[in-house]
Amino acid sequence: MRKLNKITYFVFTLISLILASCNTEEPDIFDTSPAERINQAISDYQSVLTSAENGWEMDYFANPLSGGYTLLIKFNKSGNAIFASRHEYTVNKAYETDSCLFDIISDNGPVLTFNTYSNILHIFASPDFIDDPYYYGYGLEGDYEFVITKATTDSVWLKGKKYGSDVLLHKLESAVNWQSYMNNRYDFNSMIFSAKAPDLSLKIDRVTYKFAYGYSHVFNVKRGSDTSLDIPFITTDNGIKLYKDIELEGYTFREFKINNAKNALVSVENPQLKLVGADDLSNYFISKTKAIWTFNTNNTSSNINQLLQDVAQSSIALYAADSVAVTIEYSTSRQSFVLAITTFKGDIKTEGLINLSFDAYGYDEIKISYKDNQGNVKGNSQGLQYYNDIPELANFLELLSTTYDLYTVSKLNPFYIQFYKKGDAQTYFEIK
Amino acid sequence: MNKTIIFILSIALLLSCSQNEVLGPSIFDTEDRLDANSVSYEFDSWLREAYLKPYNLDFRYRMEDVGSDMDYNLVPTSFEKSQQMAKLVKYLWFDVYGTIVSSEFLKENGPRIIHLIGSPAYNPISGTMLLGTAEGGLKVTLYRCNELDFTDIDMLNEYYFKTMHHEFAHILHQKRNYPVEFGLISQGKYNPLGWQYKTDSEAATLGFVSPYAGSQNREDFVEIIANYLVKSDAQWNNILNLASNPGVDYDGVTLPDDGIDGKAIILQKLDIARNWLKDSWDIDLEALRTEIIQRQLNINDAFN
Repeated sequence: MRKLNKITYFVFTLISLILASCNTEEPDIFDTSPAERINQAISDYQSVLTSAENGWEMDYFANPLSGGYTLLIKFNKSGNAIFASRHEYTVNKAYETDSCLFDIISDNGPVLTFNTYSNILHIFASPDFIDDPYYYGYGLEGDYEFVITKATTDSVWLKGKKYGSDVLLHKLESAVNWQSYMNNRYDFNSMIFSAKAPDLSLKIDRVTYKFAYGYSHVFNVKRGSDTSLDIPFITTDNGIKLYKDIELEGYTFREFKINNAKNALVSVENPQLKLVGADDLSNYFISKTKAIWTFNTNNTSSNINQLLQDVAQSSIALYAADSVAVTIEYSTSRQSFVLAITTFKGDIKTEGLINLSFDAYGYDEIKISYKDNQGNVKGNSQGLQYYNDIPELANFLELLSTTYDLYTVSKLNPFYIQFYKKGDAQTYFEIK
Repeated sequence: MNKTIIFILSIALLLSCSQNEVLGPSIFDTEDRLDANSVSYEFDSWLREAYLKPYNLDFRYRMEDVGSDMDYNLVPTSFEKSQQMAKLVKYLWFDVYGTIVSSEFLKENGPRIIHLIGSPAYNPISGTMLLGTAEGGLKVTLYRCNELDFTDIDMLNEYYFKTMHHEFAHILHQKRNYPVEFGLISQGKYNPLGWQYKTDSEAATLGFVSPYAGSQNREDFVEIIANYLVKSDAQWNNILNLASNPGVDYDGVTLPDDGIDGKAIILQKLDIARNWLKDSWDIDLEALRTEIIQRQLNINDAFN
C-alpha cells in the first residue's frame, strides 16, 4: 500500500508538471509575430534608407582583409539605387556613376540586397575582376548582400552576408555635390598615396613601425623583423580610418588625420603620435636611385623651359630623331646622377648622359652642379657629343647648376618635387 | 495497477499538448502584386504577361544568392541585360516551341523558374566555367548574362541558346528516357574529368559534336540536339568536316588516325535523337531548327 501511494504521488506530480509545461497562458514577450516584426523592420529600414535626400556615403570593404573605398549611394523609393565613386578601380580612374535595383528581404534578419548589376558596387564581387585566367573565379571576394545590424537616422551598420565585412553608411549633407566630393577624395588619396611613395613610419617611444603599401589601402605593418600585420583602411576626407582598431606598444589606433603642413597623418586617439613619410627632401631625392624624373614643363619657369625646349629641338634636328626625352635619373654604370637625353629614331634608341651631382645643402635644400671639382664635364661618349654639338645644352646645364629650396605638396608622397632657385623666385622647375 | 498508471500517463501526455487552434489567414501577402511606382514595374508587368500567366514561370532576373550555388563567386545581371535576355528567351525558345510544337508544350514541360546570373560560374580548380544548369526539370540557371550582345548571333548561340536547348533537352530526357542504344555508341570513349583538354577537332573525330559532349553519354545526347538546333548549315557541316579528318590537338599537332569514323557516329547519334524527339514528344527536329535559324536572322523582332 505504501508502495502504491508513492507511485500515485509520483504519477500525479508528473502529470501536473506536464500540464504546466504546456501552459499557453505564458505572456508573449512581443506583441506581434516574428514575421510581422521582420516585415515592420524591413519597412522601417526602407524608410531610413530612402529618407536621405542626398544619399549616403558608404565605407565599403569587400571583405575584412581588403582595402576600403568610398562609394556614394542614393536609395530611391522606386527601388532604384544610384551609385557614384572615383578610385583606382573606376573606369579610367575617373568619376563614375550608375544604378541598379535594391531590395530589403527577410533572410538572416533584414538583408539589404543589390540584386541587379552595378559596375561600381559589383566589380568588387566580380569573379573575373583580375584579368588573368589563373585568378578567374576569385576576384576581390566582395559582398553585395548585407545584413542590416543597426540603423539610426544618420547611420546604418551593415555586415556582408557572404564574406562578413563591416560596412557603414553615413548620411551625406544635402549641400554635398557628389562629383566634387569624390574628385576631392580621389585627389586627396593621390596626394598621400602612390606606388612610388616611401613607406610611412610610426615612431612610438624608441620603436619604429613601418606602414608599407598604403596605395593598396591595406597597410603592411611591421616592426623590425617581426611578423607583419595586414591592416585594411579607407581614405576619409582628411585622413584615413583603419578597418578595425589596432594596438601597438600599448596604444590603440583607429583614425589618422593629416596635419596642416600635410607632412604627417596624426593619430586621432593619440595626437602625439603620427605617421610620417619623407623627412628632408634633399636626402629623399638623393636616396631615390631607382627613380626616373621627368620635367613638368607646365610648372617650370620660362627661362629653364625655353632652354629645355631648345635642347630637345636641336637634338631632334641634329640627329634626325623622331622624338627626344630629357630626364634626371641615377646611372648605375656611371655611379652618378645624370641628365639623360634619349633620342628615338625608328626602333633605335640613343642615350646621352651628362653627370650631375646633387648635394644636400641643408634641410630641404640641394645644390646641383654639372662640372667636377676640376671644372670638367663628364658623361658617356654620346652625352659628351651632345654637349659639344648642342650649344643650348651647356646653357641649360649652367642655368641648372645652382642651389635650390625644395618643395612638395605632401612629404607623405613626394611624387613630384619643385626646385626653387635660392634668391631668385623667377627660376624654378618641377620634376616628377 | 501498473497498466492503469501507464494508461493514465499516456492519456495525460496526449492531452497535455493538444490545442484546438484554428489556422487564420496567412500573415504574408500571398497575392501577386506589383508596385506601379517601382522602377521595374513595366518590365515586371511584361514578365507577368509573357511568362508567369501563360507558363506559370518565375523569370528571376534579380539575383538571389540563396537560389544560386554559394560555392561560386557570382554577380547579378544588369537590369538592361536582364530585359534583353528575357525577350530573347521568349523569342528564341518559348515562341519557337509554341509555333512548331504547340502552345501547351512548354506549359506542360518547360521549367518553372529561369534564374539569370551576370557572371560565369568559374571553377578555378578545373579551369572550366559553368554556362547553365537545369535542376530537376524545374529551374534553369543561365550564367554570364552581362556579356550578352544580341547583335552577335554566334556568341548568343554559344553562350546562351545552345545552353538553353541543352538544359531543356535534359529536362525532356529526364521525363522520357532516350534509347539505351545511344549510350552504347561511344561507350568507353567518355571522359568526365578530362574532356576540357580536348579540342573541337579531337572531340569530333571521336564522334562528339563538342568536347563537353565527350564527358558522359547524357551530355552527349543533349549536345547533339542543342548544337544541331542552333548551328547554321555551314557551322554544322564544319563539325562533320572536322569529324571526317584527323584530329588536331591544342599544340596544332595532327593526331594519328584512330580508325573511328567520327562523322558517321555523329550522324547516327543525330538520327537517334531525331527519332526520339518525334516518337516520344512528337517534335519535328528539322522544323524546330528551321524556325530557330529563321528567327535568328530577324533577331530585332525579339524586341518589338
